Amino acid sequence: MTNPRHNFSSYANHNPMFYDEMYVSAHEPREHYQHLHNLLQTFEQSDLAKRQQASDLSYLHQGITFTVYGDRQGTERTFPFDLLPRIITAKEWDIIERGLEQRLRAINLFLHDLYHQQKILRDKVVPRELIMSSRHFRKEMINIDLPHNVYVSICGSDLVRIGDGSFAVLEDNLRVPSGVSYMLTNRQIIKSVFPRLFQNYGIRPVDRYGQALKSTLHSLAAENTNPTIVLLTPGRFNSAYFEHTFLARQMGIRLVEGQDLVVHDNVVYMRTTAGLQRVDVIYRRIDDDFLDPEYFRADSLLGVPGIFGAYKAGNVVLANAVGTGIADDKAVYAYVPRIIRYYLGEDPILNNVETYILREEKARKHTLANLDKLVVKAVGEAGGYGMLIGPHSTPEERDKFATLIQENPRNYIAQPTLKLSTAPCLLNGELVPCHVDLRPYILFGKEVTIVPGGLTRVALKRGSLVVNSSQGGGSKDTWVLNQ
Amino acid sequence: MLSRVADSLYWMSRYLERVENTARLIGVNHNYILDSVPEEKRPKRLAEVIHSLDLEETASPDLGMETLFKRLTFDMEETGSIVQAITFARENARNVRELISSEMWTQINRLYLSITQANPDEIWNDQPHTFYKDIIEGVYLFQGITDGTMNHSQGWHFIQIARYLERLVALTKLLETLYPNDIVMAEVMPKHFFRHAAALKSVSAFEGYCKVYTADLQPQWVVEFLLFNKEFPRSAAFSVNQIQKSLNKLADMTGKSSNHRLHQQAGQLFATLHYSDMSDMLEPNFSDYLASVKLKAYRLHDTIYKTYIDYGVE
Repeated sequence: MTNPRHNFSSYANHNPMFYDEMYVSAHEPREHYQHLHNLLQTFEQSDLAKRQQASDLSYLHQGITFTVYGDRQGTERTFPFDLLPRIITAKEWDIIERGLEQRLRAINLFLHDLYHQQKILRDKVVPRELIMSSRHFRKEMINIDLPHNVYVSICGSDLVRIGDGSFAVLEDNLRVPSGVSYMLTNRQIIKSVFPRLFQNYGIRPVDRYGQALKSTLHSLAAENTNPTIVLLTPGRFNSAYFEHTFLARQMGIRLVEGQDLVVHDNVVYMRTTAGLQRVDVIYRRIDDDFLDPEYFRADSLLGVPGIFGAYKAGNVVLANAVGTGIADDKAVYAYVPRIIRYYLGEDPILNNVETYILREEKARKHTLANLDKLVVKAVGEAGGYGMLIGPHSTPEERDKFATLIQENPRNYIAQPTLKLSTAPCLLNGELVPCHVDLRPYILFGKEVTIVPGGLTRVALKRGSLVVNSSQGGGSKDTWVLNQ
Repeated sequence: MLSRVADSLYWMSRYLERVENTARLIGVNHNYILDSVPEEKRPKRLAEVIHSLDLEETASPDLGMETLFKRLTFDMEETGSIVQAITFARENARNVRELISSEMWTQINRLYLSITQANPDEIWNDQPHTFYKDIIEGVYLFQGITDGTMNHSQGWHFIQIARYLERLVALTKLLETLYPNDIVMAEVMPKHFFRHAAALKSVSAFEGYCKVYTADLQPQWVVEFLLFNKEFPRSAAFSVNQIQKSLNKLADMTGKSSNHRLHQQAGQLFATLHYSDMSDMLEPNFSDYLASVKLKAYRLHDTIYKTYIDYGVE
């Protein structure tokens, strides 16, 4: 007879095919998860269900929602939250932290070089044509000097744990990364749901993110001034609007829309009831394309006419800078390890997911011979459309891709099919392994700050690899341990 | 405070006042017409309601009472309908959701849902009176919540200005409709009692009036009370006093105390209502007097916008 108390005494669904964050085997938790495992034994199913309900309600009542597009009423939904935390050891975090800092340092040097001397292109480490053909390369940025030469001040890189248990970078988000508000509210909620567990674990705090973001933005303004910093949002129809209001409140800065700002004689002002007030630093949550209808997309109603002129004149700071998208382009991603070696003369601490650049002959031959095992992605202008998932493909599809690759090898990269790690989630009262990734947030101003943790996104559907919020993904609180 | 935010708070408040005003006008007239207006005189009465809501262009008394009132309440396409006003009020509140208190948001949302989810036929078959009363109380509740939960800083003052300006304009329209020159001058006939009572009730003024003048309803006294009484919170004089108080506060808070034009205009409006009496009001005639009050109110709105919200960039 099974005692309902012991529902969680083992991980019956454990799948040895994947690295599991919590369990080595069905009965054996990893050392740093032992406490959590022990605690689970003391819960009854109904008790956990109650706590899950309490946390769900908390999100709803606080209005922590994202907007689902394509609905006339602009439906607001909560982002599903799984109660069981994802735990990272101090040793693992140390690698992640150093790795991310190194990576972002190199990326900022790379961007500065691309928009100035272009040494890396002359040295043929990165092909010139790859950069020049990308629509994310902003010629308008050439020879514009930025404070501290920082292009990317706010970065959210997606990490995955690969087969051997080490972390690798899947994607850099160097434009307007989102999700940090969930990192912060998840922590608030888990503290109220599992106070005792939390207290006994020795977890590094994340709450200072708002303050750190504010100092980062402050450090980009001219020294010894008292800059006016604002957050520029596309408005309440944007899916991340909650986050924009949240961060503005956390930092105590104004939340502005494009229509609130005016540019006069290359200076940006906001329209207040007490008259125009000068704005010095803008944390913008609007893409380059929509920023300034005079320079970029002319049909943009979200942006501020003339703001890019003020920016070029050095009268206002934008974070992130204009033109950072070139460095998180899929094609450029493949070169990041080489970019790190080129500028820093160091080996990358965090690797990319193994990527074959098909313009290179050796990689191409290997890929063509292993099409049934690899994922092939198109990287060019039409990126994202052409994609071959080898293990799920038919011989005809593989033939078609082989031809495509040979015709235009520059347009493709290939990667092995990923075995994302899993973590146990509570689904209908049982522990089910779900795939997870990790998005830590890196702040880069005069100095680098990485708040210990990040957003662990989870595919809350058995077997699904999709962690996006719009696709039934959810999140977990991420704990980085003191030791 | 951002000008856009002030703009949203201002219109949120004006639309809510409009919701209340229209709901009361419909509720009161529904009662009055059923009680004491003979069939053949109903179209004229309905025309008056339409006129006092400034809706001659879209609504017609030919629709009959029920259809007309249902449209003015539930028809989203009908300019000036209650459902349209509450929808606009809520949209404006949504634009500044993080700046108003969460209690305010919940209440305006609740009121919005109670109107948009109502079934018009059921309400009219049952007790329309209660429905309109609930709407009015929903707005009162919102105002109470606003006073009790929101900082009384700039935003709160914009809400006050908007509410009283809307109230003032609606009152002048009502008086314009119900009290043409010949009626103001007339001696009251007993058969007109209900008409004047309905006029007072349209602005919740019946009880207030009786406390000052007893239940003797004389047209001159009715308009005198609605325009000049300094204690009755829906009178023109009271509204203007509140507007001026909030404008002074705003000027201090924004450092715009020296704005001459705005203060001149507010002062003129104040003087028109606080230092006038019946003889000024009737010279040359009542409708001219009302028209000048209304014009001053519109000008004041424009100047507030030019000062705080929609100013030129030089």
